[in-house]
Amino acid sequence: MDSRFKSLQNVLVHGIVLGVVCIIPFCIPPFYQKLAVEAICLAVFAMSLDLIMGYAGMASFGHAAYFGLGGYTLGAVLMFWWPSIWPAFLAAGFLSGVLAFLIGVTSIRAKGIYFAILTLAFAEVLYRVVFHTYALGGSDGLIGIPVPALNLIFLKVDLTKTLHFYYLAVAFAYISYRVCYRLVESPFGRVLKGIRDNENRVSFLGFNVKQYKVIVFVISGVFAGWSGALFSLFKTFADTEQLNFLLSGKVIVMALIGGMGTLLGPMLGAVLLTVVESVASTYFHAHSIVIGTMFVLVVIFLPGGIFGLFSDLRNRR
Amino acid sequence: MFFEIKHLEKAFGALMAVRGVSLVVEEGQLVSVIGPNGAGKTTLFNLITGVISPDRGDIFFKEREITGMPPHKLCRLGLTRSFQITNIFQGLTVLENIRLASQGRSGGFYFLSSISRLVRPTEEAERILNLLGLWDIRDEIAGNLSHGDQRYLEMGIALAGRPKMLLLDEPTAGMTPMETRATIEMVKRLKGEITILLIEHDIDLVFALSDRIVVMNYGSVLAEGLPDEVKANQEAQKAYFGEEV
Amino acid sequence: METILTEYLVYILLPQVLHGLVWGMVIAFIALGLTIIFGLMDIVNFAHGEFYMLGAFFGYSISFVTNNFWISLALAAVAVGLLGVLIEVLMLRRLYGRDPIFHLLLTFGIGMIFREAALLIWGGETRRVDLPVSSTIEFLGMMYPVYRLAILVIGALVLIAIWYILAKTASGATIRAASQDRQMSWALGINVPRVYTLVFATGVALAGFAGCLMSPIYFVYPTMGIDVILRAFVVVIVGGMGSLLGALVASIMIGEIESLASLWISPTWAETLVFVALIITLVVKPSGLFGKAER
Repeated sequence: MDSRFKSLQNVLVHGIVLGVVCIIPFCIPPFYQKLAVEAICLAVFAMSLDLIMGYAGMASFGHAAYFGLGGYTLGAVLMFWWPSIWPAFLAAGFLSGVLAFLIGVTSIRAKGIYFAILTLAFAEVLYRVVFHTYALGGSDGLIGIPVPALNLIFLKVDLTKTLHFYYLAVAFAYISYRVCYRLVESPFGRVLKGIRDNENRVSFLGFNVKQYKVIVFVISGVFAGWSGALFSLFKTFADTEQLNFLLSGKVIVMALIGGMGTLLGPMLGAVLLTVVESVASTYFHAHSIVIGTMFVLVVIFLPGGIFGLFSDLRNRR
Repeated sequence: MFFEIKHLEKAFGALMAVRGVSLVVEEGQLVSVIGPNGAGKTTLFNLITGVISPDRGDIFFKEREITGMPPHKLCRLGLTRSFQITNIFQGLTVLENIRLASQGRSGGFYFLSSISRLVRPTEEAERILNLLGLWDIRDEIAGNLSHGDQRYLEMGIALAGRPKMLLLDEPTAGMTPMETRATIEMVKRLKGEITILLIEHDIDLVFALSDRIVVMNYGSVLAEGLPDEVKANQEAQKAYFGEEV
Repeated sequence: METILTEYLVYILLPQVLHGLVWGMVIAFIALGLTIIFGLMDIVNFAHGEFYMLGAFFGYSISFVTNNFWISLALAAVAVGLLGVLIEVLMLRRLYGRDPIFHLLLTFGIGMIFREAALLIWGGETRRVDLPVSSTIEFLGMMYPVYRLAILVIGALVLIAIWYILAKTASGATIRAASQDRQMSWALGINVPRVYTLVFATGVALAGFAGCLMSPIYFVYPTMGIDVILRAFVVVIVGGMGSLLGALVASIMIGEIESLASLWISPTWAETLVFVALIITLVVKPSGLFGKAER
């Protein structure tokens, strides 16, 4: 009886949230609609980082590599090979996953800070390589990615309209969240939490820790790649700013401020940060200082992020 | 031979931590390893459980060579270990600690199933928690437990998944006398089902439980045999108790 | 044939070797501070490059007041050191005992703030600083800027001084003790927090000193810290975290690799080569060439 009530509660909450999200674009001006789409892509990106940082305890300082690669792959496929969304999207996820596998397998043998710096180094190498590749547009990137209509068997969606893209992004984010949630609550996810808590002991329990780490790293890379692909599709370009250290840093800030280890926290953090940046930059030049200060304050005083604050309050009751 | 070590050697730089140690454990036996601090007992455990690789020597478990095998493979084969310094999952609940340990023995990744669907680990966890008297506090965060309860949990993690052989490293370290007595009873119940290799400092415990005793000092085996034999052994007494007998 | 070879050696190779030495010296200053801070406090200071950058900017601004490069240099280093004290006492102290990931994140955030603050205060354009000594001197058959040679000399003196302090003096022993065994040092009456503050301040002051010292050659701009920090990480890791000798050796190595490689390939590919060296080192020996394993 109790569990049926809980799942009804669940459906209600999901329904209300989704409902609100779907109504939002009608309440805000077009500029903010565009911002919202970007925020949603970054939200999934931040969630992908949470998988490895918040659940498995691996600090990745080069996560933009997968985001950017996803964008470039989608752009390259649409521009040079096959102007259809599904193959481009799948290719983006696939290549990002492969990259994550290669980098993961190489880096995971190193622990802690060494791992973090390795991920940073790999991302920097990728950035420089792409920057100097004329075929990929060099520092300008791939401009003018065509946006074909999305073919959903029974429906053809015109993605040049921001509103349609918005709903696509929401659907993508929701599905990604459900999948990731299932993953972290599964026995697999429990092992990840164990790794974050006491990595040493986990291998004595019979788990091949390296394998688990590589697997979650690849999954994270795939979602990062998909979010990057969606982002590039919306902006109709893929440039090196989607690959650089500043973005890798930004997504860490998003994840932390929102609350690591909660999946939803980083998504919230991404939205929050995008809004703050946009609002603050219209008023004064120092918007990044505001964000930087917020970040530092959260690290010192509120390490669980905003979501951590919620769960603290809930536990006290 | 159920479990055998042949001429195990390990040096750390100039220090010979383990010199030519050989040991045999029959199935169902409880063998204690005793000796002063720094005798090489924990190093021996680390060598057996794959934390470090020996310079020389072989280890056999159930007719298989397991020298240098990584910890997770050994666990799958049925050889587990508990730690001298409590090594539990501080942020997880008591139940989650044990359930995770039970899950480890079953293999497979189970990406998308729900944890409650995995019946065996949950049942197994219940069994162990009851055995250790931890069932009532199963939803407590492990980090909040008393030292004694944490030591029980430490053992419980190693017991989950029904190992064939268990290496216990000073399980009663820091326990109250009452807790120590309870531990003795518990280990007595495990004897026979599980083969146990035990490191301990509590001599009463050692003599109450052991089928055989191995005395180590400076990395080598000084004496080995039935409890009474060891008691009578002069050298062992000297090493372990100083000159007093 | 012989003269072409000697000409190549003297006019092309030798200057590059010296440039590499100078660049290696810059990196060594940063890397040394980084590795000392890590060795003592187990903190990886992601903001270290920004202290370097602030040293350069402080020197730039102070020189408008003092009109003397060398005085500005000294004042800038002190200013950065004081800033380091502030940061350590107000922020880093609160994080002792927490998961090391938070140290990473905190210093990362501080770096971000410094960068943006510099952008705000001084603007984004690159500033040029005049060479205090603009003459050249004959050196091994070719003309080389005196200032660069001066940097090498000054750098060497500072490094020797640091080595001397750490290895031969009582305070050095205190620092080494605190880095080996925190608890014991505390028990022996060593004021560990104060040692931490001192070491952190000195480490970043070194970086600030380097930033100001190098500003006539490498100029001053808000993102100059990012370039150096990446190299410094490579150095510290390749040399081994916490190893002073390793940091020094690796700095010179990296400086020379980049400098000499840029003779034949573009500077950005030379940069990339540095990262590849890092990756290879970590893959082969996860704790660096001279490093101890993770604590």
